[in-house]
Amino acid sequence: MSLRLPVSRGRRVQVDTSLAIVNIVLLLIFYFLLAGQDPKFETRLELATTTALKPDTLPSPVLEVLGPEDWRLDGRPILPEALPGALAASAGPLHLLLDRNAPAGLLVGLMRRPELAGHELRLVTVKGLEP
Amino acid sequence: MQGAPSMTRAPGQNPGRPIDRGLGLPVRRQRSVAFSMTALADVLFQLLIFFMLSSNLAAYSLLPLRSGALRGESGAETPAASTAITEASTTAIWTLNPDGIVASGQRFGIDRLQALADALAQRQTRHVLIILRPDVPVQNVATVLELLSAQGIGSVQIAEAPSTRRAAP
Repeated sequence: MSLRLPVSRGRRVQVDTSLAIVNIVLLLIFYFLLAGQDPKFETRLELATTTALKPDTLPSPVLEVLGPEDWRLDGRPILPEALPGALAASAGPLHLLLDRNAPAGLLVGLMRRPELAGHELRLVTVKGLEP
Repeated sequence: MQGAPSMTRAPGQNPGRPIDRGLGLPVRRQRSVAFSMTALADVLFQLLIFFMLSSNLAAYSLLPLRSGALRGESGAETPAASTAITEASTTAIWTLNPDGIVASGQRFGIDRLQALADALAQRQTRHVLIILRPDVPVQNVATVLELLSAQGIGSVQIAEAPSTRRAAP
């Protein structure tokens, strides 16, 4: 005895995933558009490289040290005497750009300057490859 | 007036159907248009790859050199006259020369810095005094400070030593 049940036809259910893919890709594009807005600081200095430090962005103020008295604050030349007035508005740390081959005496002399007294100092390095 | 087409809709007639005016024109069938998103997804993927490659995500690293000095309410620096006594075993003294580093009376190359920093961490050294020659390149200073920071040694002091270069006669 056999039952003649109606055969269920295997209907293919097609799920359209292309719309979801497009949405995700669009979100990724927006992310990289916004994340890539941070421009690189234009400098002719060859910065020191570090490998273990976590990558970070470079916020203002940035002091580019080309010589003992040759300073540029955020890309504009500035006299050492005018630096305290320029830094009065910013409460954050001061980011130093020094050449990797510059003598350490320049760095130590910079930290001794009375114009930079009381400011938190950070040396800007570039992300290098693991040895 | 009998053969004229009727422009009025019958009471039971479907309002969506076109009104037959009796001209015998072919009835336009509605075709279902399926929009394919494959081309759009391809273009978006190419845009995504372009923006991924062209964006620069945090190319810099920031090495702390000095924390800001304490300031009073009036803005003047407060004198920080304090004396801290630490054990000699927890303090290391390194002399950083242009050609290497001197630690515990032994001379090492810059390439041995990692081993020296590991040894400091094993001996649980907490403080490091770096005697720095002025002609040492900044790259070496950054490397030393980075290694000490990676080992958790946050108390680093730098003392400037006289230059090793002798004045020309």
